[in-house]
Amino acid sequence: MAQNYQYCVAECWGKGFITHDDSSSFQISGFPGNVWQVPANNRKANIWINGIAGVRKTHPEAQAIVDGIIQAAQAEWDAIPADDPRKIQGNPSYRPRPEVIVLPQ
Amino acid sequence: MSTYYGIFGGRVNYVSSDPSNPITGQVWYNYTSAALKVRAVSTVGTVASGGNVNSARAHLSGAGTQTAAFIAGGDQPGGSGTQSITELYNGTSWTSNPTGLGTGKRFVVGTGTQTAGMAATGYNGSSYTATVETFNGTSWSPSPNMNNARSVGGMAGPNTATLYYGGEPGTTSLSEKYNGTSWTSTPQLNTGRYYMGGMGGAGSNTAALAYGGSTPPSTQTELWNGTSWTNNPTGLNTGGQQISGGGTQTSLVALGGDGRGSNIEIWNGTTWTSNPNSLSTGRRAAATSGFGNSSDSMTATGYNPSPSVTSATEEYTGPGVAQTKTVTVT
Repeated sequence: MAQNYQYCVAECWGKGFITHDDSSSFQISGFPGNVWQVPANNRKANIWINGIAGVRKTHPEAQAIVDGIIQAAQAEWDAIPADDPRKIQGNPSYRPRPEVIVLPQ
Repeated sequence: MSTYYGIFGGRVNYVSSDPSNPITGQVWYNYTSAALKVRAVSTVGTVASGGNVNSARAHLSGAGTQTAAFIAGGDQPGGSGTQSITELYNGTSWTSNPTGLGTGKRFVVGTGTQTAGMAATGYNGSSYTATVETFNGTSWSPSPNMNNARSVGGMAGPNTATLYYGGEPGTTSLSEKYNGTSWTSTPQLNTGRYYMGGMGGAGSNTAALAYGGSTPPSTQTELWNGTSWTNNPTGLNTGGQQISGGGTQTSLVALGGDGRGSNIEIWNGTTWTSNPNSLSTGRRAAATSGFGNSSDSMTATGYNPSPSVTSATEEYTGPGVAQTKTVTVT
């Protein structure tokens, strides 16, 4: 099946990690676990991955990284007592349970 | 076949580094990075990474510009507790300020500039407060209290002519105006909300905008003319709360937010338009009330995903601003 996206892992170091030139040329989307998604078969995206020293990941590998982070966040959320403001809807401290993220192919 | 030389009467300059002040339309080849570059005007808003904050957190105050901003207060890691940590941004990196807020607070809201900032209201760990502190670029000082204790309202204007509107507990519609000496209650919002998007120092206490907010995540937009709030006929295209951004009542950018992910929308004084490009990292509860204006705003730290916090800053540059672009030749 044709891949619309490619994935890599890289830690955002701050200024210069993504430039205006990058974001105006192709869409860059960040996910938990320092996973970055860019279009497949895109020359500028390939240059960007090389420039940030991104470690390329297959779709299943990237999905597994994101799943691990989300599952840990869900476990942390589940451990919060039910009467904690963070679990009471309508309270400003309320935070929804982290949702599963499905990375597109 | 047309050539660059034939059209412009000159050859492309070969340089080791990008020119410091290129003019729009200027083309050069950077042989260090092996890239052909051009100074061009973007037709849509774009984002770029800014410096990472030193202390990632959420529910904090922040204001200033892309090149001179502050953030202060917020949650402790895990989403509870309070902190007073203040950091300063110089356009490249965040530096921890030696002194923090006088009182650690979360759900605190900021406005003004890096050298004339304000952090108002918030939760101090035991109660909501009406306390206000002002920042001179170095340290925080107590300022006259607001009339009503609360948190996570919207805020607009410099720290001597400020408007604070909405917030919680509850979904209050209370508004107050500061004249540099004291706070005065003003006519209320039409719809009480908290976690609204803010304006930051570019706003005004005579021309403010209240957009989005809770509960539930709203699209509603109201305009303040110095006397009363008016509902705008149309709202955000995507409703949300805890939105970052900044600007004026006639030109403002909304960045991300709960329910909005990485969405960017532009306000022109009448309607909201979705920007084709989005943030690279969707987030909520980032520093608020806002930074810069519709042509150069930013968002810093915040939840992504809850309960994780990101240290990333993203800088937004609006359409019509000249930027250096790399030309891809195949």
